[in-house]
Amino acid sequence: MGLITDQQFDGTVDVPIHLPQTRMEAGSWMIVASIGIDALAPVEATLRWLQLRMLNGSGSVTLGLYKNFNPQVAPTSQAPTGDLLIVQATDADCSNVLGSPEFKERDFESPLTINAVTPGAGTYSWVVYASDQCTVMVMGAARLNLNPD
Amino acid sequence: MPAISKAMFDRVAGFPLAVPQTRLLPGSSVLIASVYVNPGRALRIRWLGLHVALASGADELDRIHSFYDTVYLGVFGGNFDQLNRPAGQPLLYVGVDGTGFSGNDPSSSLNLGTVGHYGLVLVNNTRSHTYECVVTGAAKLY
Repeated sequence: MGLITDQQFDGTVDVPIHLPQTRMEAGSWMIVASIGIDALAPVEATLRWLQLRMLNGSGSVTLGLYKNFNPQVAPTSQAPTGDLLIVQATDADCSNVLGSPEFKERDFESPLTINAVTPGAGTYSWVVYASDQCTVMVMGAARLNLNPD
Repeated sequence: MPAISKAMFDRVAGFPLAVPQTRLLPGSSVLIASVYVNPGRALRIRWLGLHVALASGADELDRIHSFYDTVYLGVFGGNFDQLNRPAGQPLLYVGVDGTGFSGNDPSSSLNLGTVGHYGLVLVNNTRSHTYECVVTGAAKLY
């Protein structure tokens, strides 16, 4: 069994990707979290845990990671890094949570790694987009390794 | 190099310093986190990022403190007024002029071991502009 050193532990930070219950208007989007990956500072981010839930409303909600996101342009017109999480309303109160279309999570066993080489330095933003008026929440975390080998 | 013990691991608490995209009106500030450090403990901040996504306002920028960026994050200690505009020198400063992203130096950390209250404040340092800001960071209490 491997052990981690205190230096490794000190250099490991879990940053939140967290949006509390939030009402969104039709066709609106907002940035939930952003991290900067610098070409000169060897930081590596690993994304495993990310969950999206629609609490009520209609239409669909999309959560994606974007490199150098332009906040003036809808995320539907920009290319995401990695897969999108998409939830679709099926009933008015979105009462079925786990396993239903109103709840989606990314595959925990397939981590997405971001560093200055791949997919490259830049500002990475998690952006949620609502096609119709709805209430959403996002829970997740990105693990940052501040002292990568 | 020593491995960390379970006892040490159990004593460390990590917590978020985060705000999703939020509109910050001219001259306003928001207390994002407030932590009291007890004797024998220490607050350590290794990662703190400020993303100013959008800006709007008058053509002419009216900056309040000329030596700070238009939007900044500051860690303040001591008996600072947590509900009003912070005064004094921040212990940790991350600023953005206009729009864009800025973060602290991840290769170093801010260690706060002196007993007392510490607060992380997000400040709109203008009287003329509104900004939409995102804060993403984390701290550990050792």
